[in-house]
Amino acid sequence: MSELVASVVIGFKDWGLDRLQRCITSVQGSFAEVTVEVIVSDYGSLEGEPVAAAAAEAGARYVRTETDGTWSRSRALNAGFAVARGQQFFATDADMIFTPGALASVSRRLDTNPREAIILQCRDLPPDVAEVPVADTDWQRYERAATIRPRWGMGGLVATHREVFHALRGYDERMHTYGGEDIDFGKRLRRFGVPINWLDQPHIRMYHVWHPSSRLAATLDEAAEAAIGRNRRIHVNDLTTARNRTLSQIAEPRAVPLVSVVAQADRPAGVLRAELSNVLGQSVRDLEVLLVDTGGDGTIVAQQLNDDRVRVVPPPAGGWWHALAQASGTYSILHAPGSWHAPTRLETLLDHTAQRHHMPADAFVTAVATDNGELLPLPAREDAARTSPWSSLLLPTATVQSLLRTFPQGGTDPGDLVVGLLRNGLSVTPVLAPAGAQVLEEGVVSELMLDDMARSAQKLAWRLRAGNLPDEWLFAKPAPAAAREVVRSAQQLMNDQVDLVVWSSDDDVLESLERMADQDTAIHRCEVSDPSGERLMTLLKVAGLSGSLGRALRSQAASSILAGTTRIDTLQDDGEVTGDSSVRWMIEEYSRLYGGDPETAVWVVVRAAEAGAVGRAVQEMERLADVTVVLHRVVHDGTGAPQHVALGLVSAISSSLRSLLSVRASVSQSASVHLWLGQDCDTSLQELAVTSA
Amino acid sequence: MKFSMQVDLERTVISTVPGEFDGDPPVPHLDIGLPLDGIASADRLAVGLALIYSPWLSGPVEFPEAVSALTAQRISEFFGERFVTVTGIADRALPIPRGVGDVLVVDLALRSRPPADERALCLAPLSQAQGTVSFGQQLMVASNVHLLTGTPSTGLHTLGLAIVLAECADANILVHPSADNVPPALNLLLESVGLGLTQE
Repeated sequence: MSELVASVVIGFKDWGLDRLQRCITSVQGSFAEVTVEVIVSDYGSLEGEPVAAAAAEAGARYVRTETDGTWSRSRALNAGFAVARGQQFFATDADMIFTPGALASVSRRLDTNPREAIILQCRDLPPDVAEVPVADTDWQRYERAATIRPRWGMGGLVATHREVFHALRGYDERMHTYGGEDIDFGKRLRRFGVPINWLDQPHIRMYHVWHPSSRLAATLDEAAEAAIGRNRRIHVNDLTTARNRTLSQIAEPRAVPLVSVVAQADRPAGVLRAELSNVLGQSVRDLEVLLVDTGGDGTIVAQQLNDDRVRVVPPPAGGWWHALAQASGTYSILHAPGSWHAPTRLETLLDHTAQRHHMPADAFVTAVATDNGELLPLPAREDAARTSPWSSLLLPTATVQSLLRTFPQGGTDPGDLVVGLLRNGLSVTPVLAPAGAQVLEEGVVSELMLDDMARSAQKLAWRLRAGNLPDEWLFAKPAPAAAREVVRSAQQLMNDQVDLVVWSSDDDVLESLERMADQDTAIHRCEVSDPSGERLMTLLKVAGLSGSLGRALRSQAASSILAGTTRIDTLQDDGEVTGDSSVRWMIEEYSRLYGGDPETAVWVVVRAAEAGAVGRAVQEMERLADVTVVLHRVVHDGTGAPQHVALGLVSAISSSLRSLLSVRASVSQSASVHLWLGQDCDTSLQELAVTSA
Repeated sequence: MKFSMQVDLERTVISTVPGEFDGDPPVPHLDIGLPLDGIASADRLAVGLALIYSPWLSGPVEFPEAVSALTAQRISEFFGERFVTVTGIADRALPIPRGVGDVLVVDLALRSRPPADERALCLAPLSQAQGTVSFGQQLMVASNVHLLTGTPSTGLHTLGLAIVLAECADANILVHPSADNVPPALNLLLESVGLGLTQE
């Protein structure tokens, strides 16, 4: 057998090198002919080198995690499994030893049962049984001397399949100090649909080597006792299946994404790209986007997003239907056109997952985007169902796929899917937090269209009522204050712009960034060379990148940052300039970014304490033909008080005074309006104050 | 896993409560569009449920009604190395229904209905039908058993439902695609409830 079958991870921290080596040797012997790797995950031993040497001597791999001294078995095991290459995952401890061939039997059992987890009955050795080398072990004596533990909880060994471990996202990394990790993992296995098999046969034996009780020691320590209580509360109260959803030591990419997002490429590429970059910027990064190429721009959009989590699905009959059948995430969600998801939307939905048949559902607020980019929430009628209810549901992918196979002709109406799921016994768990805003363009909204949408939403409610199925979740609406807040957040997401400086020698990162740029983005590129002329790195200054793309870029470049080849600095994020940055500094930076030549850039600069005054200046600048770039930023002065600044880049110095006067006329007396004439001008001319007179 | 059964005029709903070692099934109940209150064989119900829920069962299992000792033993043997034990053993002999001849089991999610003169038990998904239709030599029953397919699917879910419904279809031998490659323990399990299995 050439392919590695099993990976065994032993979490370890200063528990005796002889004991560790004995465990490793017994594990290897216990697998017999089955190919296995043993990984010692050293979680904060005082000195790593002796542990690494002991592991290597016994034929095990070694990984080390530096810690603050706190022991966490969960994190230790996850760190080990992050580098594991086997198809079966075995978690055990350094104080366990196994009879020859026992683990080979467990492995064969897993091999023939693709959805099962195996636990072994633990037998405790008494203190007087000497720890002799495995080769010299008298197994019959062990069998006579050992006492069987009550069959309760878990521990000692948990074995399952690689993809199951990944679907659960490993052990819960919030747990530390002592206890609860295996019980929690076992409960989640069951919620995932995996039965637990206590495999107990005469030739399969696992012995626990005696040592002073860790549990007893922990009870003597107040902090440890508190940690044990906390671990217990996690496994008792947290009913979710997948853990470590936003932060984990488990290496990317995962074998199984947590969520599949299905979207249709049936709208202009620019619009779709912005929406999908919003999805990719979710706090849950472990997702895939299935882009159904119904409009033909899917491949282009995917290339522009340049994110390996995006997969284009060719469009046979059935669009999203077909994509759902191909989804590999544990959960799936349908993206409704025009949806702006709150950045933590998927995280919130996943927080509400529990038993397999429960589908969490949140609610979108419908809003209209006016011509000047403002979002106005549509007044919701009391009796109106939500407009795209199917996009509110977090769907269990495997169950959905079973259901889809029963639709002989496929389908086009996502309502059929919702009705089918509820009719077959699934239920909806309403989530009160609003999901985001579904945005309609002002130009296309009419009373007729709104009526159509309301009727379409009501139709689903009628169908559910006709089948005696629950429909009240369709009418659950966020509180008005929450709705206003979510529309405000969506507005911010849509307008969100980020200015970055990227230092990189990685051409892929640079090209990716340049592909992401659109007409609203300015890129200034400088090559940095050594004295011999050889390129060392490239400096990209980027302004006006959409916030979600900026976040996606940061995540994407994270590995490059760690590798030391790429660094991303934020000049301004979300329109805020913090620290002691001066307006002068900011203008100089923007001159380099937008003007190409900072020596000759000419700007109209408006400063005011109120956003409204600067907003009017921005509107006026956008109207002027000679102003090519308009920016609105908030500067915090030394006292922390915000000052609003509007900047307009004037294309020619000859028109600068005319632009200045137009802007001056549009704003209140309290606002100051200046002309910035570039650095090559006489210093006295750089800031020319123009009074209302 | 503990099973309980509610029957009304139109359908039967079998609910499940997973135990300490069971995996959670994808849906919490089996919804069959036929009232099963007239069924004589608690053993067939138990065997059918054991097959349908086999991907998730582990540890003690309690069926809606007490089963015979032999069937309980055969169910445990069917699960082999996974420990499954039946609680609720009948203290008297249970009748074994006797059907007449072969009945083809047709999964309407996978193929269309056979000609009306062929004896068949057609299992329709709830997305296509509801309730029960009896016509000619055929009985069509709608259910949500299609959502109880294991990973990967073995076809045991439709075979299990066919065993539950075998008496309604007056079957002696079930003709089912899974007969191609069944373990000996499955044949013994069927034998304990007076049923045979063959391929089309």
